[in-house]
Amino acid sequence: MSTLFTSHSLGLRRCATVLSLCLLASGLAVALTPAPNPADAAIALEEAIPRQFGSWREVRSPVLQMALTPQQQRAEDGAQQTYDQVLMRSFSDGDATVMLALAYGANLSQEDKIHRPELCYAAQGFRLTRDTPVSFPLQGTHAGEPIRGKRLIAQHDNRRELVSYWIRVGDIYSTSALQSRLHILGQGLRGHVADGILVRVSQIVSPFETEERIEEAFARQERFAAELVAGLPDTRSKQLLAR
Amino acid sequence: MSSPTRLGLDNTALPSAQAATVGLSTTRPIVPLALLACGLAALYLPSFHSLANSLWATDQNAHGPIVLAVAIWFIWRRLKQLNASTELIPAPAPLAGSLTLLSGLVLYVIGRSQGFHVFDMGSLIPVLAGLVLLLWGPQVLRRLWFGFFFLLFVIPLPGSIVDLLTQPMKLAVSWGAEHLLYLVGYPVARAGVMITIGPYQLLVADACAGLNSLFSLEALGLLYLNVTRHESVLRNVLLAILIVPISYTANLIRVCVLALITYHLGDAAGQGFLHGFSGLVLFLSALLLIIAVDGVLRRIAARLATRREASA
Repeated sequence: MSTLFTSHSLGLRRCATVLSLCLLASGLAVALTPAPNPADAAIALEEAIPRQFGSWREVRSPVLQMALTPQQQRAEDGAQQTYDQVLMRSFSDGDATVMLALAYGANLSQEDKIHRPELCYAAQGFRLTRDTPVSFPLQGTHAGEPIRGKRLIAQHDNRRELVSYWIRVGDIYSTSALQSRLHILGQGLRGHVADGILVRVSQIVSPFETEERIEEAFARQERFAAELVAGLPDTRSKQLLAR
Repeated sequence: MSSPTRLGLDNTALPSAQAATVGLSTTRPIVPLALLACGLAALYLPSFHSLANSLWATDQNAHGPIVLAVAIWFIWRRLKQLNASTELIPAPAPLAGSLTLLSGLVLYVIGRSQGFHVFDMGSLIPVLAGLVLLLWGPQVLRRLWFGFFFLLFVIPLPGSIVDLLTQPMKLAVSWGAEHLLYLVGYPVARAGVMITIGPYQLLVADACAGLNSLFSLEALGLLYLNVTRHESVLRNVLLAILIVPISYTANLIRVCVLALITYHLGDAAGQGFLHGFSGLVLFLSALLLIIAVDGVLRRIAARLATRREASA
């Protein structure tokens, strides 16, 4: 006896229709897959970012920067496999030393996005005691909109870090993972693979710093980023900005 | 076409009277089945191929292909059981079936073209469910629910969720290992996910957090329950819930075993071949725990049953 696998249930026409629908979907998926960006389209950040600009000058620092992915302990490990380009330097203006970290991905996807510092710090056991939006003092787009990013204070034992960052995904400054996903998806369906970059400026401060000094430090970090970008010719800054 | 050759899956078993009621379609179902298989292969072979080279190759999602194979095996086994029994009369739902199938295909096209495995793998459920509705109807689908529930475990979690869950689990395992080893007298200390035992420092890795093993164990446990067909609902639900602490305990045992290997046999032993061996320890201890817990639950259930009989 057989109840399910009968030629009545498994009608030839019905199954052929299903097959053609499947083939159509399979073909459509291939046709809609956007071509990845050519490997040489991006400029080498290592050369594009000057070692001296404005009042800032590169310094050697013994401090290890925080990881750029949630899986790693330190920024040096593994970031190279996750991103196409990683740059980490420290700069000083005589008063303060700030750390710059850039992580560039030429082909972002739903599975490979720019990791958000919130998660990277939390994954290392840091607690975020502040997480507020901020506009960098810099023109972010051709339309004159500012760069939208975030200010974080991350604390773990006695290490306290102030972090100002922005993440560019394709043509937007993304302030949430969902926003990134939707933009990557939208671009992808139009046939473009979005690229993206994390621009992170951070410094280590005493856990007993006053609120006033913290505000000052944040403002300095953001000024640093603005000066860095303003000093670059358009051909070099385009990787950092959505314009 | 007046005398169909008797080679098909069921034609050999069909009495001629029933063959007559089937009427017009004299095609052997082997051909339609092959068409369906081709369609599914065209959809999912490319997905499996790219997953095998990316997510499934990582520790976090290594359970994916195993769970998938088990789910497919389960659905197929159940279909054959239903096929052999006469209790069900197929009542296809063409409209619901087509809509489910189409929505699954849309999900597939987006997921596959945009490299989003959550949609890509997630589409398996509506595509297969749509097929079942289209061919046999909702009653058959209802009998297969467990297989479809199982398919949920095949969908890879988005990386951000994994990262979010991993850290607290890692901390909990490290905390437990520290306390356990301290209790039995080892010189142990802990800072975050870093365990210091004697002269050695051990870093509890993501894989030790147990998120991945939690899913494979949960899947394994549910399969165990479904195959052994327990009569007591309470026992089934309890065991399914208890798999979470069981998975934690198994991971704890694994980390402790690794710490002890490193302490007694040196760093090289802890990082080398014995590190892979600790994965085996994990699954063995989890399996033993599941069987032990199940044994206890069975005894409790039996005692409750006799008490109820005695009072009745």
